[in-house]
Amino acid sequence: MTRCSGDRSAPFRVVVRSWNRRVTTPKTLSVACPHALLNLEGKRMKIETHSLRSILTSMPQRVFSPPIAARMRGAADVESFFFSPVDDLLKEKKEEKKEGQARKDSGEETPTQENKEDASSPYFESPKDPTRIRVPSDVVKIEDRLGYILQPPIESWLGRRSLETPFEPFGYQKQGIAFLYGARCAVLADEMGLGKTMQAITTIRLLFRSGECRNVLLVCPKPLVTNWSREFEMWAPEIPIQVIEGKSERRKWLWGLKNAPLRIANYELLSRDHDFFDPPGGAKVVFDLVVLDESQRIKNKSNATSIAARAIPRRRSWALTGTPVENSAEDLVGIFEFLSPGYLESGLRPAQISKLVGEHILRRTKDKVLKDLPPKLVRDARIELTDEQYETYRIAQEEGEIRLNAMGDSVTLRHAFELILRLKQICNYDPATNESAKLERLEVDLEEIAASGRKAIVFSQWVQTINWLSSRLKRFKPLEYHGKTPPKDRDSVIERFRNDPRSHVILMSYGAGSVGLNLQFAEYVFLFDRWWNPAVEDQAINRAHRIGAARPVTVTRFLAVDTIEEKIDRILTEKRMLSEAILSDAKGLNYSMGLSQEEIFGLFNIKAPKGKERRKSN
Amino acid sequence: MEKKRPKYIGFLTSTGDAEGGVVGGFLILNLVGRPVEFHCTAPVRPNRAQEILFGSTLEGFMCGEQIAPALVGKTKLELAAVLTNKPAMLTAPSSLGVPLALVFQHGERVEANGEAEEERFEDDDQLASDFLPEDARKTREYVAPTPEEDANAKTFFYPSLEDAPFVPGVDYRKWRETTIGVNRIAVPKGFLSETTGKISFEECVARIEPFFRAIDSVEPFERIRLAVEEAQRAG
Repeated sequence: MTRCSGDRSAPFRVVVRSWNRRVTTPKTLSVACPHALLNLEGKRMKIETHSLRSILTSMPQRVFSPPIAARMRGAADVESFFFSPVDDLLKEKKEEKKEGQARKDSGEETPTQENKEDASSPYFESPKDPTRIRVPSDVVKIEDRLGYILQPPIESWLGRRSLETPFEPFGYQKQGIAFLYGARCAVLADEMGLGKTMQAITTIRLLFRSGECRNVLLVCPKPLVTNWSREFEMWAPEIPIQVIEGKSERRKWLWGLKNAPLRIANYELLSRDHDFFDPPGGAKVVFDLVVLDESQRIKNKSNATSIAARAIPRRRSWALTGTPVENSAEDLVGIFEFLSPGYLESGLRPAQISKLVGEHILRRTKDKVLKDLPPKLVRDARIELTDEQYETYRIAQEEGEIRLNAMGDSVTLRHAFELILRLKQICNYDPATNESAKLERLEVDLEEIAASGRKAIVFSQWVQTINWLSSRLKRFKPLEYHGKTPPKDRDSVIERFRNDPRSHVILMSYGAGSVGLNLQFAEYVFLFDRWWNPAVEDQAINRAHRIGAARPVTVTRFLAVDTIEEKIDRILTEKRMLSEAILSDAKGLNYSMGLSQEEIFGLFNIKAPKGKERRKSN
Repeated sequence: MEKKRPKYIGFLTSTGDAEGGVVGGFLILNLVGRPVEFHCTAPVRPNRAQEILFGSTLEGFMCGEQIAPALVGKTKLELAAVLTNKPAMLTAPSSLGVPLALVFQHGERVEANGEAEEERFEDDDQLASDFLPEDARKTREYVAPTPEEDANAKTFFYPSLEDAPFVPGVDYRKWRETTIGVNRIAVPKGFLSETTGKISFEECVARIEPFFRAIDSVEPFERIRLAVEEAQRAG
């Protein structure tokens, strides 16, 4: 831990008291830390005030040891905690010494090493309310139930020196571990940024330790494979990882390995490798546990990925998702088809589903469990398009509607979507004149952000818009992160955004940047255009607003007034209400508020044609 | 060559059931606090004759002579010690073959319940000094605690061994207080049995000490209570 001298204008002394060696390596830490800087040079370095301040204040609190993190939470802000004079520390020590001497003089018993509250004590002390492993209700045999009840509390597991963790998990995270440990089928549906990854990894670690699991498969989206590998290295360094990748022969060999404790596969491979993990007539590897990250990927029961996931031979199934209900209650039916086939049927009302799944889903939101997390301020920036831009918009809308109407019953959802996309793009900027009311507003905000040394993330649906924005915002030296960014460059883009004090803006696409990234050092998020479903928007926002965020996160959602964006926003609000209805046991809402065919055509006051495809947007 | 110490420890307690009986629970843990064995009794209810015959020693008879030997005798494992939170269990004979230690205080929780505990002791002292002879202080007719009382009251937290309730048949002078971490326990000053031979106080402490690195002296009793409740629910 570091204390610095009070004079902010001069280089100052750094005292490193202790540090967890695992989090100091630049590979696992999101930001360089003073200790690492000292070690890299092999000698004590003088660090400029401004660079140290930016490092410390952007560093997630979780990398600090629990007692220090607790003290940090008590401080007015991270900066004031660190930048108190180094003399304070010496003063504290002197006072402690004086007190000890006074006690000795008065004959008072000096507290023994054993009785003192000392983190270095080798003895375990259980908390007042220990977190006990939850007994699943589907475990009926008394012997099995007692097997869970008699297990030590989670704190006892985690208190062992052989099971060190980079930081002390929060209480709700321990409850999550207690929930997962005994569960045969479970959905961990915590809001993004609450540490689902850490909870899953720690539980897997405990299951390995207790001998309940020997063979685990984790499936995640392809871009997150490296993220999961990194997290496993940090949270469970003793578990060897096999990433299933490469050519067909190699993948086949990896799937068939008998002694690989943990395999990580991506969704894209699942349907291709179906015959490898479920060979017709051949010997197959049965996994003790299969974990699906971002499990909303299998919400559609009939897609190939979902079918392949269900075919994986397994004894336990967990799903991790921050958004179990994206469009409609049917999403949950799809996920449960993997967890416990047949448990949920299509067509149930939200209240019924809520009752059935209640025991198998654990959902916590930041406002309930992270009282210390800085607030998230969401503001809708209602933008009036410029006259020329609005004119372009109006003409495009009228022409589009005429064309759709003229098509009669041959009109399809695809035609409607094309028009929606065209109109949304014009709301972003007018391709004919390059005018953009949103850009004008964005520039004003970015000026202020850059001047104050803060960082901002701008999300858009289109790479084309991102490219256009990049060319218009050159003076801010924006970075780009989207589907066309080569995978090998992605980590370096993020690292640059994180560490380069001159880099203030990153332009991201929802598709590439909304999941799996930790960008809690950014304090501003702009949704330049809106995604189809609120869950993806939440995911995007939560890149910045998550554990470790030291300052409030301001989210600005751009909304072009009097355009299709306003209508879509109304539907998004309703979708949000549906999600809350199922996950918080509320009643009395309509069954589905997804973007139905009628609603899509309703955006243009056009009647939906009869007998056509009845798809929903994602 | 130094003798290897046993790798298991027992936790023995009793809890009242809804119909006035006593249920014994015995949990054996390994060095990292994981359960190895669990045994519990059916509710033991004294008959009228026993109540008359044993009088104030009835609790000691039920815990020390009926429950403790029945449960501890079930295991084939060699135990470092058996910890109990019920003083009445200390009446168990040395033929159990394992030292019995009393858990009587746990640092933090004593503070948490300090006020209530203090009040109770004050009342008892007042009662004792007013109406009872010196040697009969804190002696009461045995009434099995209800499950609620067992769950709510930390009846085994005493500021020191001197404040432990008087239980006929238990001579606290044979035990000595010691502190390991936040755990205050009373360990036999010396233990002798046919199977173990003589075990000194220091050896007893050395046998128990490693277990407190993974567990504390209080939490396992809560596990037993929950398990007994579950077993009773299951019938």
